[in-house]
Amino acid sequence: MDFRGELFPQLFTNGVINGSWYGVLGLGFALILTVTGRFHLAYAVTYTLAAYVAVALSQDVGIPLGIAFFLAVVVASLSGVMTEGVVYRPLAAGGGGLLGIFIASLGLTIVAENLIRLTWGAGSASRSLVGFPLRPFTVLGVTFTSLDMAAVFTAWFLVLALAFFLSYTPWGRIVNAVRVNPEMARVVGINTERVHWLVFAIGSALAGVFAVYAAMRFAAVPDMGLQQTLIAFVVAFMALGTRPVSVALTGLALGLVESLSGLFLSAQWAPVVVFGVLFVYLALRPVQLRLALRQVQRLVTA
Amino acid sequence: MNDEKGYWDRFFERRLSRRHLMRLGALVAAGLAAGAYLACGGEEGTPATGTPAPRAGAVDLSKLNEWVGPGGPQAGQGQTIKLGVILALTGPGSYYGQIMTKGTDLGVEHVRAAGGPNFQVIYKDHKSGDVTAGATAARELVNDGVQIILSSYGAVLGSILPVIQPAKVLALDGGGGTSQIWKRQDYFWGTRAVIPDDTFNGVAQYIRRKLPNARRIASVGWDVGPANDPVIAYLKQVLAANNMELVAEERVQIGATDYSTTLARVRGTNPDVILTGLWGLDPGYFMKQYVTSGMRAQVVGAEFTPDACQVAGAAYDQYWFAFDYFDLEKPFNPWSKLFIDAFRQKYNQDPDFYAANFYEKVFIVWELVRRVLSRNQPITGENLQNALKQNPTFKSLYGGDANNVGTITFDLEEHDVDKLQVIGKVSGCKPRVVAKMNRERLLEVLD
Repeated sequence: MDFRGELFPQLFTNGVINGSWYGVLGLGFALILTVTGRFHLAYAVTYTLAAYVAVALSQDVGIPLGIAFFLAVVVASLSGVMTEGVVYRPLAAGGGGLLGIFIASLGLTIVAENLIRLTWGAGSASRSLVGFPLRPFTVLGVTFTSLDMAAVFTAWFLVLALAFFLSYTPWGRIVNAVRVNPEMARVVGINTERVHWLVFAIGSALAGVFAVYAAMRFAAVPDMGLQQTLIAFVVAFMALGTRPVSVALTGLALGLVESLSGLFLSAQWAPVVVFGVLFVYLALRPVQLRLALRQVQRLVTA
Repeated sequence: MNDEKGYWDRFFERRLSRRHLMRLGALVAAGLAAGAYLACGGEEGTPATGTPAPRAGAVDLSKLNEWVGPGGPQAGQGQTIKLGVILALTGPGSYYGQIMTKGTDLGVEHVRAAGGPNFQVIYKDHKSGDVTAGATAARELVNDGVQIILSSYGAVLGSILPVIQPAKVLALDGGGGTSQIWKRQDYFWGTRAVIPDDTFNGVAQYIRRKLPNARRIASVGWDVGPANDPVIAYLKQVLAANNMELVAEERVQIGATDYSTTLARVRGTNPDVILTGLWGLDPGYFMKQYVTSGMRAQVVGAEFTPDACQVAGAAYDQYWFAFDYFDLEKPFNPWSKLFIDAFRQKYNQDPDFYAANFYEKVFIVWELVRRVLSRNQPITGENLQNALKQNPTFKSLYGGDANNVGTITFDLEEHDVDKLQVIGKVSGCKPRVVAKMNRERLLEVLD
């Protein structure tokens, strides 16, 4: 059988799995960025913390995996809210500006990573989350696992649920109002502080979900969050608009491009491909292309 | 912006008392201090891992001088000698840094107890193979007057060589050794086998015995630039001699966690055996994904560490490894046994190959110091290397028998050593030796 012919469906499937994952991470990052204006690099902290909490609760305390998963997502959500409340908002109130918040976010990421190393300091602090019934499936020569399926279904469920929330619920409309025009939202009596906390809670919870999946698929390690945050940033930046399905489709496209690059390039070039796509997008994006893509996305998401 | 400007007032009123704020400040300060401490790799002479203080007399060291040579003023007793150590104290390979630190510290403690010099250990972090950090660390040590360095990751992937050679500072590497590409480098010597090359003959011969139908071999390894080329060339040569062929050669980033693309590409070539040149946690990640990839090839890795096994879990039961392994179950000689006992007592954990190598390297340094002092010469890198060249044999934890400690001998041309190596299998994260070999051939098959 032709090597390329057999390889393509497997890489495509891998791309769908990773891309769905990237989409949700990008969605959480984009929501926070566009509604609050915070460049939340400490998204990495939330991600890493959720993975370690899930491992600690499941394996050290002995809580069932499902409950540990839920509690880890709650902790992730609270961690995001606390970051906003204790770090970003006071900085913004003191005139810290975008750069000040970015630097604080970077500092927080470094400190938290080292605290995790100290807390789980034995060896390299790597902790694998076990307990999920991990089974491989092979369909038409393509192999994937029960965990991959769960991650993809979870990703698209969350995307659609968030899309519904933002479009059809009063709180979702309030979030959209603050995103589009925060000054006007304040004028009409919306408490933007609460809205910021809400989007930090939602965005961080999304990161928490996939951090726990990452701990099951790979392992929890102290520096696991930064790479994923950079990917989330690329997805958020490239997404045309902030509608959940648009952002998720951008993540999916990025995952597919990254994975399908394996048809021609060895795996060590995958990160280069991700940032290469961003570079090309930034360098070459003509307004016409942007408008055309927006039309296509409107049709898809209508 | 009004609501943001009033934020602090409302924040204090509603949620924070001064006591709370002080607690928060203390927490942040502790976090910053922790980060700074870890990032700097600890103070001079202090292990970065918070190693407990030596417990004198915990293990009987009375025979140490009989095995490794005499102590006393002529052996450096009373002198303080700086010893630079460049390790992966942070990053994905920090397991190595921590276990090597422990081996070094124990070696320093035992040398002092045996009447040797007081080595003032200066730890530096190369951040798990960051060549810039490696070169910077070496430069700082040279500027600090250090004459001898213990390095890892093959002279931190070659980056320290341009620093130590003009400064005439001796470097010994028991972590990555010389590899093929950094052999015959002045002032640089490997104290372990050449990896993974030295395992190729023995592994190929073992595969022929145990998997007689295996012909198609795939290689998955770290991308270390031009250092890959001689390794692959030699592998092809060994495979051809054993009626096998290399059907895939995949390179991955150091510290990679997602192997889905790599596994898909390897799977397309339908290999019988996959040889991995991965270290640190990477083989754990690889195996965790490999077992669900649908492939049935036998994976043979380049090392076993408990840390990677913790990542892989039960997947490691399908993993074989081949390297210059340090056997805890059957210590090679009485000094090996003493080392194992002392390590367990001091750290409440098992030592591994890397701890043994760094412990042993401290004793090699002591022997060199003893030789230089016996000639009334100053302790310089140049004099230390000359002492090594004049007699390249040293006492070793490896080899020997129940009554006699082993020896290792440096190859004066290649700057490496030919150590006993093993092939092992894993069950429940417990490694088990199934064959022994040297770089030329399989010596003994146990299973």
